[in-house]
Amino acid sequence: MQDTQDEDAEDDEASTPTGVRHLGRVLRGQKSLGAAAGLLRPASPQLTFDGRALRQVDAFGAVFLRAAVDVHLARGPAHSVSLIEPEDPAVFGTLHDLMGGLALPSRCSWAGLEPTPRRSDQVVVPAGPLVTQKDLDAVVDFALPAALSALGHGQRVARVAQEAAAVLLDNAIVHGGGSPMFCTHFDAATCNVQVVVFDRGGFPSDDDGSALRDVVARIRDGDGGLSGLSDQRYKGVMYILRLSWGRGRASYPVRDRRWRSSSVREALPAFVGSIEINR
Amino acid sequence: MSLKLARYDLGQLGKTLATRTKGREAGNEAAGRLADEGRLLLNFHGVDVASPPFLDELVRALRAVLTTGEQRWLLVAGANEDVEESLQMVLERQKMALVVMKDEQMELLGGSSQLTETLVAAQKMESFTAPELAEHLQLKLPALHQRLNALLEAGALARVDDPTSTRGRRHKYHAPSKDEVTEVAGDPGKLRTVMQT
Repeated sequence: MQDTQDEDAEDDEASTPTGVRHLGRVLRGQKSLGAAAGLLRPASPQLTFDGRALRQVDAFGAVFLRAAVDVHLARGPAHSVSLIEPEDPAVFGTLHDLMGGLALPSRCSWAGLEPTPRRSDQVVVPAGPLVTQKDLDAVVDFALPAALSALGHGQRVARVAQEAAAVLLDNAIVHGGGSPMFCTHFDAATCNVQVVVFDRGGFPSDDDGSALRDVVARIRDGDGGLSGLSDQRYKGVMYILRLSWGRGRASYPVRDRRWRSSSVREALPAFVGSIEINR
Repeated sequence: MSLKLARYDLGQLGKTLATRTKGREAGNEAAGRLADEGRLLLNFHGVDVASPPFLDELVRALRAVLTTGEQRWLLVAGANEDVEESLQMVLERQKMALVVMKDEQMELLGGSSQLTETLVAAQKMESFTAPELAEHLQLKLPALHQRLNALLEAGALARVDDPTSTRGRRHKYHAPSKDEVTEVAGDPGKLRTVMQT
């Protein structure tokens, strides 16, 4: 199973006084965590995300970008976002669907430099916030399994995805506060169904990664919903669980049955939980 | 002997039952019904996913009622193979067993092969005393009592005082077969439909 952490990153995100943020060439996998802090930083009211150079994007990139859009719009009624489309038509097609196509939030729009692409069959649930418990139930119980089944991913893959989504979203709502961002996508490059949940749960400003290590320790002790996915219950289905919070990073490849933890230099101002299910 | 049982539909909670909180809520409700009605069908029809943390809380709550010493009978039905496997895992961790309807047969989930052997023999005899079953299985009474207690704890057997006993207190056991089970509320055909889906 190809690991998204092995992708080369070519982020060249920079902000200018005119409120333009470049998305860089790669906004996918764990490498997109590095771009997340920059995307979420305050900017001038009229903000542009320039995706022209983008060559790779997935569910991780989509939740960060969508979260950045929502966070910026929430800063004031006069705030707006323009999304400049990737020049690569295939990448634009993927990004377009990952962001919900034409159903962007109000005061956010595509720049209109490229024609509307054909619908991709790889985006299962586009990136978006889940505001109420009813939204969450509708996505986990109905939209997710129906879409995965329609796209030919099989009942067992759907069940793993449902369980992970339910647990990660519950965690985000209970501990994160606010509406979590959710996205499911079939990443053809890695042959993985990705389920990604993002919330802006706070973390100690002096976090050295220990906050996430405590979470992992509780999972190991059988506490919390993710402990249920630590057992190899779903025969024939391989997956990796990943958690990122502040400076902490943790992953659990189910074939290894062991959590791996590490710390990074730049803190992520959010909690990101994900599962990548190999197809 | 015809047994009527109440029903608790886990599908009403949703198709994805994955958190401990939900498990605790379901456990409290199901245990309450089991305590009130004495006989309960735990129906998983419509549930796609039941995670071990959810099932752990559910089973704990039901176990607390099953081990009160009063007559209780509990049957599981409608679980898909992944739910059943998760339930088996949780029951093994809690060293407990439950009776599950599968392909119109009643089987023991989470128990040892000896326990299953005992239940099968009990179902064939339907109504018996411990010495009668011990003789049938060629077991010593203390060993059999251990198995009978485990099956009582699983809600798989009913136990009553034996009115024919002349010396001391003796119990009579009853292991209902599938044909004897009917649903207490609604269409009697509903249970068969539940078990077939």
